Amino acid sequence: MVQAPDRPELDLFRDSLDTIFPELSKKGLTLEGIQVGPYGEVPEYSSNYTSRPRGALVRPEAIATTSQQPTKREVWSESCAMLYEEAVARQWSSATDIPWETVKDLPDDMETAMCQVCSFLTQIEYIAAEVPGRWVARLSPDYFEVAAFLQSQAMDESRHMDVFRKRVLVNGGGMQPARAGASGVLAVQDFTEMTTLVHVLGEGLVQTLFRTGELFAQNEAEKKMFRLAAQDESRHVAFGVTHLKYLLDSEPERAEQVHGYFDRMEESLAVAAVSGSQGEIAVAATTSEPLAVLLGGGIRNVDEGYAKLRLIRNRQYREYLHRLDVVGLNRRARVNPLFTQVMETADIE
Amino acid sequence: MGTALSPELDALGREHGWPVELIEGALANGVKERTLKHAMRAGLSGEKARQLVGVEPLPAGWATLHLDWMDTPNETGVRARPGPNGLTLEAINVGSYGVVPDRWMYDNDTPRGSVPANEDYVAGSYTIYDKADCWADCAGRLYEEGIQARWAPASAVDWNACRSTDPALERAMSQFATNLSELNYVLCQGIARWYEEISYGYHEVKAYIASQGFELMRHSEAFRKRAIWSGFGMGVQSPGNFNRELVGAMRFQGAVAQINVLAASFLATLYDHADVLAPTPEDAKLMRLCRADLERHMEFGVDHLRFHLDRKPEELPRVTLLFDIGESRWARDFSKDAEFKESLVMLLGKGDREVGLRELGAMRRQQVLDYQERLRQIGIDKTVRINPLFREWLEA
Repeated sequence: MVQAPDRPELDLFRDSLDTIFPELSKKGLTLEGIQVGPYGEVPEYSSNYTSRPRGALVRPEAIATTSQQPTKREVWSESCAMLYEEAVARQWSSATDIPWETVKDLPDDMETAMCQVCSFLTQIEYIAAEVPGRWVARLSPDYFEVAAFLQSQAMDESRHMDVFRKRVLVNGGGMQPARAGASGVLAVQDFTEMTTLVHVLGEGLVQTLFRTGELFAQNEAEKKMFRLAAQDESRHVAFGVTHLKYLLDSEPERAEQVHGYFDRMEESLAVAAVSGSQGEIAVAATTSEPLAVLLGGGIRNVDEGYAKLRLIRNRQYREYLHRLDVVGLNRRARVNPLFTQVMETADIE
Repeated sequence: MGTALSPELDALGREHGWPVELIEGALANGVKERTLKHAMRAGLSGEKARQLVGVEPLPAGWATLHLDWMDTPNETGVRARPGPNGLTLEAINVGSYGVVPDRWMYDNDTPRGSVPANEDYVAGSYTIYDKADCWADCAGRLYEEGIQARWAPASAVDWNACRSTDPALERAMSQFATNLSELNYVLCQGIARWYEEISYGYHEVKAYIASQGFELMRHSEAFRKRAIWSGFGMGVQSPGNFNRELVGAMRFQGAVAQINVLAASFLATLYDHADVLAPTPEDAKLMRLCRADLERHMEFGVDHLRFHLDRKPEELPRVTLLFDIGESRWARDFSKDAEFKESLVMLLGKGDREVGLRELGAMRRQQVLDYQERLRQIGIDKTVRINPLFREWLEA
């Protein structure tokens, strides 16, 4: 456990102290660059219930500002500082960085299908800001890099919420019906449960979908919209994967609990998919159909669209399992069979 | 099959080459008549439709033809057009999609302008459903401005030029920056907890406060870097009384009052003194970047509270009380935080204590005056009812 330094008698007009200097990197002064001396020592357990920044001197009378105090292993990712810096450096504006003028008239079925997909995406994206935001408000400053990353995610998700809404409203199609969405994710109780559901499973499936956006985008604006959103989602997924890896390396006995979170979510998705619900992360029928229409080039070729969609679903599934391999969680023999059936299409491989 | 074809469907089937037995089979499988009409009109051939309507086995990964999303009871034909600042949130408030209701009716994540499906509806845990309790007309614009004014502390300043040659000033800067890093972290926490409280009908506010949280975290990061860059590392933590108010706000108005008005106003005036305060021009640049962000935070705070009090004038005494409490916590921290005060004196006087004290007095007076002016814009008169320490600063 890292002890907070005792408070010395300070007199800025008189005293001198030992110094320790950070170094600049090619990217400037990064969070990784300032991890020098005691400031880079992240405590395994934190008893800091106050707002004292990590490494700052203790003021004994300082009062508590937080009620929840997780341990490092419950929240940490070795990549969080790097991912945060990347997020700050790669912010983009949906107002000015998307070539909206390239969105042209589409046949009614294609325009409505794109609006249905984007209505769904604008519906679910902000949930992925709300839930991490809950932990920003709770995290000890001893783990501020995690809070900083989660805050950057909230920013990214706001932009996704806005960019997909803009696509819906830029070409006359209008907002489409909302189905189950992702409200259920608000029920998460634990940081790792949040990371499992939001970062690894949910964002993972959405990231793969965005990365295949070139296949169903109809113009440069949509291609860029999906490409930039995928770039953001890659950071969110990377955080989830590296957090789970850190947790399971530190506390391998938590593997069953993590499996339990995946069990629950896969089951929910599979049930949503077969019941015709929109489901929570774009794998179910009422999201699949407009995607198949877009992929096929219209309702008249929806069968061809489904053939392409099967490839995307298969890729979503394989990438999901690969991420879990990286985490060190062997789930291949344990995946919900119905989820596998929905996502996997053996005849494609 | 026993399922009667409507004359219209029959005619469409003939026109598009769908055999009667296929249409009857589809209807018997539960495919809706309007779905079949959409499919035929869009040119889906009967041959291709056989699997999709369930008269032949459905391949893996396919879904029975539905197309219910083609029958949306929404407004179509209204097109948003990019303005001088691009396609902004304000620009897409076209037709019925721009109507922000006084009361939002859905407790899930239904976006504004969408209609939820009753049979497929999962409730959320939102608590704010009244426009009066969260709205500011400027929210969408400020969100867009925030994104477009992006900067990164890692590279926005020349860090090699961001260190004074005077060790005493650097020591003071390490303390000053520690205080600001701590405060901005808690300011971010204070606003972040409200993302999940505001219902979906007010997405401009949700997006705006996420951008504000991002900016506050950026300030915390920037000042942590500056403290450690000094070589002296982190200084002493604050007493935390005001910070406790930030994370403990029971209502959104409490958070906005303390974060967007009181703290933002005092910090803005502090950064306005960048040229006197900063030990190097690059430090002054850093403070000016933060100052520009704070302008948006204050505009949201003033606009929201003005809107809130316009809609709910009976709330005026309660909102005024929120400021009373914030002032007392802020004043308590200032009076107990000798280290922060000392760092300000050192920086403002560039090592001369007398000059520093004089400059600090002038800056504090200006902080209170600026704060009172922002309250006046909200409709709160704090010329008489002001914290005693603030009054002392005014009269010094």
